[in-house]
Amino acid sequence: MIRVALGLELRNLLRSPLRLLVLLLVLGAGSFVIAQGQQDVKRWQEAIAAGQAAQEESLAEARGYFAEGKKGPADRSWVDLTQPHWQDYYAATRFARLPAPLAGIAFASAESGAVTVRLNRFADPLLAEGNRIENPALAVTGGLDLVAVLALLLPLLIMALGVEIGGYERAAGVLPLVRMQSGHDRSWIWARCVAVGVIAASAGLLLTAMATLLAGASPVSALPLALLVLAYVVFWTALLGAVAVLARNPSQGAVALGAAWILLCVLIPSLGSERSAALAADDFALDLTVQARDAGAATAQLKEDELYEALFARFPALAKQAPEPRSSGVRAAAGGMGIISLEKRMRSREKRGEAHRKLVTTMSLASPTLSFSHALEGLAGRGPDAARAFRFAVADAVAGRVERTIAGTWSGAPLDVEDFEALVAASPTSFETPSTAWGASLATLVAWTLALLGGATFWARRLDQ
Amino acid sequence: MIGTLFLNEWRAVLRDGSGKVVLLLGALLAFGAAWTSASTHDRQEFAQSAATHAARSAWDQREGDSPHSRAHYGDFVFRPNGPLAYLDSGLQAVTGRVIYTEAHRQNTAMHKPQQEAASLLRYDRLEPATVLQLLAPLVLVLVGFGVVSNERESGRMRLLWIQGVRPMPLLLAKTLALWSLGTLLCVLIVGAQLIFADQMDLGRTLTFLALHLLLLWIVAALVTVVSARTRRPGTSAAVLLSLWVLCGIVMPRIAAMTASALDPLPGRDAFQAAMQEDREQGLDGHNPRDARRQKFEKEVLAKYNVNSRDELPVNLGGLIMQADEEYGAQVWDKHFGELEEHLQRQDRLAGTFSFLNPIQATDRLSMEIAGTGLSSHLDFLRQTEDYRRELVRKLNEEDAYGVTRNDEGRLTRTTTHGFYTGFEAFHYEPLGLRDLLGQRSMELAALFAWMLGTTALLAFTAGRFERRGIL
Repeated sequence: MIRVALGLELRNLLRSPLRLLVLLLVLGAGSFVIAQGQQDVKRWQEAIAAGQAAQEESLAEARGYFAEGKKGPADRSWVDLTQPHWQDYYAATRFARLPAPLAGIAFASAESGAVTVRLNRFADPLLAEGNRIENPALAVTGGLDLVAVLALLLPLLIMALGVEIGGYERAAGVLPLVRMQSGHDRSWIWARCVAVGVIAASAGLLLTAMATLLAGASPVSALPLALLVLAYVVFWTALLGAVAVLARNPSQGAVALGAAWILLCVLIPSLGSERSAALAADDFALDLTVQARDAGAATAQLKEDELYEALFARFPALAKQAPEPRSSGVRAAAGGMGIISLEKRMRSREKRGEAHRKLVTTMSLASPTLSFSHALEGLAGRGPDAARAFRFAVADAVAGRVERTIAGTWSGAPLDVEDFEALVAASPTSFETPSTAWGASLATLVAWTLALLGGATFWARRLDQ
Repeated sequence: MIGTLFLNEWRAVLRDGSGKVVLLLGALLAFGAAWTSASTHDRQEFAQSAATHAARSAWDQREGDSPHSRAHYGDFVFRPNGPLAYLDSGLQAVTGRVIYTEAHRQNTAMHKPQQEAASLLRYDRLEPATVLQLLAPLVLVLVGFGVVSNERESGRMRLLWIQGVRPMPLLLAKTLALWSLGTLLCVLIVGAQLIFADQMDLGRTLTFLALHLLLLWIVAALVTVVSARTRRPGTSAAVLLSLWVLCGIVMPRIAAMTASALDPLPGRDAFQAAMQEDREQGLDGHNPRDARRQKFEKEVLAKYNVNSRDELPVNLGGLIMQADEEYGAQVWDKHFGELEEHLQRQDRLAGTFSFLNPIQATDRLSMEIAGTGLSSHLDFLRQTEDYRRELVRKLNEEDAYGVTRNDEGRLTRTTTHGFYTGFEAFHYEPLGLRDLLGQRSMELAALFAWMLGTTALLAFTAGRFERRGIL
């Protein structure tokens, strides 16, 4: 029956210019945003390359001074590359956040975390900015990338192809005929819905394959994307089936499907967005601005013992290298308080971020569209989770620099080119965006689908009775 | 006759169960959105004020700084809400909330807390503007898709025709009935603001109201025309819902993507590198061997008619810093001027879609009226930079002139703590409504074209039915 239904739906598609137009619109928009996504990834890679070029320039300058036996540039007498803090300054290595294999599919994501950070002991990952200059007037529309095409337009394609299923059969009196011929009128309706789902899934998978091929991503990394697209199509097909089984005429079906799309793709996400604005209402980043600026002054007020205690708690290895008398190392030790304060700020930000993340999780349960788009952003490495992971990696690298600088200053021995190269070699260069869990989103989609199928069967039986 | 038909329409809506449900849901959404938005807005205002106060306290309480140290210590500017942000928060979710103002550097606005829920930022907030621009049209579509086609299908239209009802008064009455329904939602939202919001800018609020009434007239006329020109209510519903999805959700995204694809912005690194290159041509306030600095020093010595800086009655460092600032300001004006022009060019490009989509025209005008649009954002950045320049100029001048040379020939600072506490905090003066609307003439023209076009279409449809003698 499904083969017959598929043949019918394909003929309907080819005969109806409107349906064909919708399909071409989805495929055209999808192809265009895939190309745009690749452009965005290219710009990302260019930003990393520009950072690396600047890094090489700075390293070459320092190596030149070492080769000429100089301590630094002739017009800056205070620069001394034998000192740890000047080595830290000139070893301006860039820590790059590499784009995930499928980064292009979510280029319109609102997350604009940094993609490269110049490492030194003062680097602040909380203040580092992304490589893009955003036009807020365009960003506020939500953007159109492959995530938006799949999340918003794919359901519309299913609706355009299948809006009359069930309602048309009932209104035109076709169902008794089907029942007489095959004995299962509802199976015919479901077969038609599945056929529509197959066409939509083909379109979705075609776009997925294009995005994967153009990005040069491995099939393994594309597998979760394909699975999620399939699960999303199955959900909307189930919704189409549920409406088709219950709709008395095509107009009732159209209004029911339209209302469901509006509820799941617009209203519930909008409610989430409003709640997110409420969560962020009182956050003017005092901890990152006024308090962070004045934290340095508070360090100066610390007693020597308190200072060392705090420093050794964070860097236990330094305890063995502490200078005697300890008062001679206070200035260098105070330099370590910056990273301790930064890590404290990051932990406090984590707590605030947790509320937003919980909100997204809750809202994702309420809307399969939100769950789907959230999972896709995670797969693309464009969500806040990826940005946060990079921030923590930068903080770790900064802590490494701080520890090295303090130990070097306390030892008092002049450093040479080998120390400089060791510092460069010890600095991390690239960060692989971790793949976020997508299983929960897949489970949400499956649960919604099962609930819809169960609900539709229950209501259909009640109507029969 | 129009009055009677109008009242009949209202009676029909109130008699119909689904009409009542849609109306009730619309009213609940409007009221809920007004309440949550006002509550969020109030909390934001309070937090912004507290943050400003904290920054000012830190500034006032700090002691022992030289003016130059204080210029590096800097100040923080916390973005205030727009005058009507409780109705339309506009770009505020995607623009930074804090700008650090300091010597030598112009920093960008940072901290966008909603980025932690980036997946949700793809969607509009459920605030009064969204209710009026997206959901109120949807309510009109759901209530009105069968406003003519239902009557035709049930045969009531023929009855009305026999009773002498002409097409034009009939269509006009139906459109007015739908529009009055939208008006009710508008008034409900603005009325709720009177209850929930602390303050209200009457001029802006009335303009906001008028703008949305105009949009809802366009929607009401379109709904009536589509309903009149389609044979079945189902077809009418499908066409109108498709139009709603296209105009409300899809087209604004296509417009934004088209603008950024046709006229892309430079990358941040390229932009900063170009600015850095120009900046390096200026004085380096921290490099005493810099050639341009030495030239400037000679000019100052000549001006005071002395031979060495030790004889100067002023602190040369402060003068050099200010000269460097002035050069830096020129560089900023050049690069940010170009960037601003680029942002506005992209925005205008996206704005041309207003001629295809009245919701987009309304959205852009609504943000400007609320003081939360692009013009207001750019104006806020300009006012912050003006504040930074004035702050640093005063500090540099104090650094240069707030000294005396003692008997031993050494400079002694005369700056008092009162000098620092005498600084006025940043105060943002929003752009006037006329200026803002003047920058949106294209959207205004598009909206009026839509109003005239849909009204003409209504008259044309009525005329067509009059000629053919059927409805």
